Amino acid sequence: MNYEDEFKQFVNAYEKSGYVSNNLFSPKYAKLIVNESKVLSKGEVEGVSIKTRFKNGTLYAKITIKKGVKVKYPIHMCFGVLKEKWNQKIHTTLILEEGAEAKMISHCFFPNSKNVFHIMKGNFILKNNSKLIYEEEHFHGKNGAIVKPHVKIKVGKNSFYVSTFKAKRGVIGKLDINYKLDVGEKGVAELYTKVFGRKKDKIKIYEEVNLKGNNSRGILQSRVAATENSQCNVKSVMRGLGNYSRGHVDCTEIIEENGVVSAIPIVEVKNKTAHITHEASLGRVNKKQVDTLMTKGLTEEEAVEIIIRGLLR
Amino acid sequence: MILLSLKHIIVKKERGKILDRLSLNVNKGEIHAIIGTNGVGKTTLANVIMGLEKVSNGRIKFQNKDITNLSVSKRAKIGIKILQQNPPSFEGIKIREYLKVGNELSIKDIKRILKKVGLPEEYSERFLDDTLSGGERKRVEIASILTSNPKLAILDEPDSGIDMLSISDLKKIIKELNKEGTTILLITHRGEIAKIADVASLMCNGKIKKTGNPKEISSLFKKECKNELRRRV
Repeated sequence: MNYEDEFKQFVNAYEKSGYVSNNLFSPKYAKLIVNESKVLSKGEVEGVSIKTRFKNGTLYAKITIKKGVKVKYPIHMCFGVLKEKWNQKIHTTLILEEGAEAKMISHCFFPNSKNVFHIMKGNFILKNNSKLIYEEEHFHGKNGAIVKPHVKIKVGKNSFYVSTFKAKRGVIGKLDINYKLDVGEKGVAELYTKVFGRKKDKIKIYEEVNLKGNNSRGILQSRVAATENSQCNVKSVMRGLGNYSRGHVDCTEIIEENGVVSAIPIVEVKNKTAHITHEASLGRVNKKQVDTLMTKGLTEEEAVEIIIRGLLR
Repeated sequence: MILLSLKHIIVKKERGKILDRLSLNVNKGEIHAIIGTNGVGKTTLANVIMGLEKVSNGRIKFQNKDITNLSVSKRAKIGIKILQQNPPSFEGIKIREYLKVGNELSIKDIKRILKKVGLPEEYSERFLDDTLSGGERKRVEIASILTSNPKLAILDEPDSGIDMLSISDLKKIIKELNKEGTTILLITHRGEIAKIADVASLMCNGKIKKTGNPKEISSLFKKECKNELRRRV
């Protein structure tokens, strides 16, 4: 297949997966579009450099936002596999130089997957006074895929990192999230994870935030629904190490049918001025919420669906 | 004309009978107050009418049809709505989305109704979560009742969590709703709001003790409260 046809097919599948493709064509947006292990499109804008190379079955991508650059439009990353079987290995290095600011939208979609592996290793470095809003959304089709996003993030002094991970549509398959963050002085890290398990999905979420810097802040929030025969395990670690560091872990997991959930919050304080809190709630959908929606005329199933949709919003 | 009729309703729980052979008739178009001290079974009565709690015995008729075994959502669809004493919060659901559950409403309608219940128009975009106070959640619930034009609105302690100044607004809203054709069952443990009722019933120990005009029932209620206080002391 020639490049043009492949790109067309890719965009078509991207749209069918529920995404809007307009920004992929606009020169205003920096972008990296990858099908299988091939770069289909790469677009840089002023102050944003994207370098790629392929080595030993892995695609290496290095994205740098130059010092002081505030990127106006979100940077788009699309990692797709249209084949039923593929082993996609990506290694991403993302550097925000001092004072840089950007928003990044990452879509991973495997609409025809029967046996797709997506292994993503990331290394994000936010230098001092930088800001990154990172949104990652997954769609694994009707059969699911095996997906491992493993990312190490360093949030520098006075820097701000917010990430949202969503896998809400379709069947997930096997998901193994592993995020480890170190937060520097007056740095802020917020991680929001929203996952909907169906069929026989197996979901493992490990998130670790080390509040190393003085006055650093962290939030780990996970919202998980495990329905049908899915299983989900969430381990959230928040460590208060720096003076006056503050952190909060908030985990809500709900089950329906034969879903199984477990949550292990680990809150650790090694500095007497640090303060970490946590809350966790596991179980069926709140009965009072269901009852209240039923008093508006909804059936139990409709009420549960609305509650779960809200929780994973 | 009787709109709602409860006959010999019994609700048993582990701690005993919460409703004990309770009978009550509510006429179409009236504001009927149920007055009683805490723990006499008022909320259970509200829940039983809405279908949120099952009866151990007895029959419930609405518009002359037996609804004793009808589900909550079916009762809602035939025009019974409830304002719960402590409405829950909902993470990730916007107020405008919540008000549209079961209703076709434009954003203009939603803003108008929010204003009517004393909430700013901008609240339509707010989430119905824990960032709202109990009083605000209650106002949203009142708005939800107003949007649905029910035949029967069961208002369980509508004034709890609402400040004194707003209680006169609340009374006005209830009266307007009633004028538009909704029969109101007003459940309260305070005499003040019951003043707007056409009829009142005094509830004691899971039973309706007496039904009459609100003034008469209010003074009976005061006596009942004193007796209750003596018993507790």
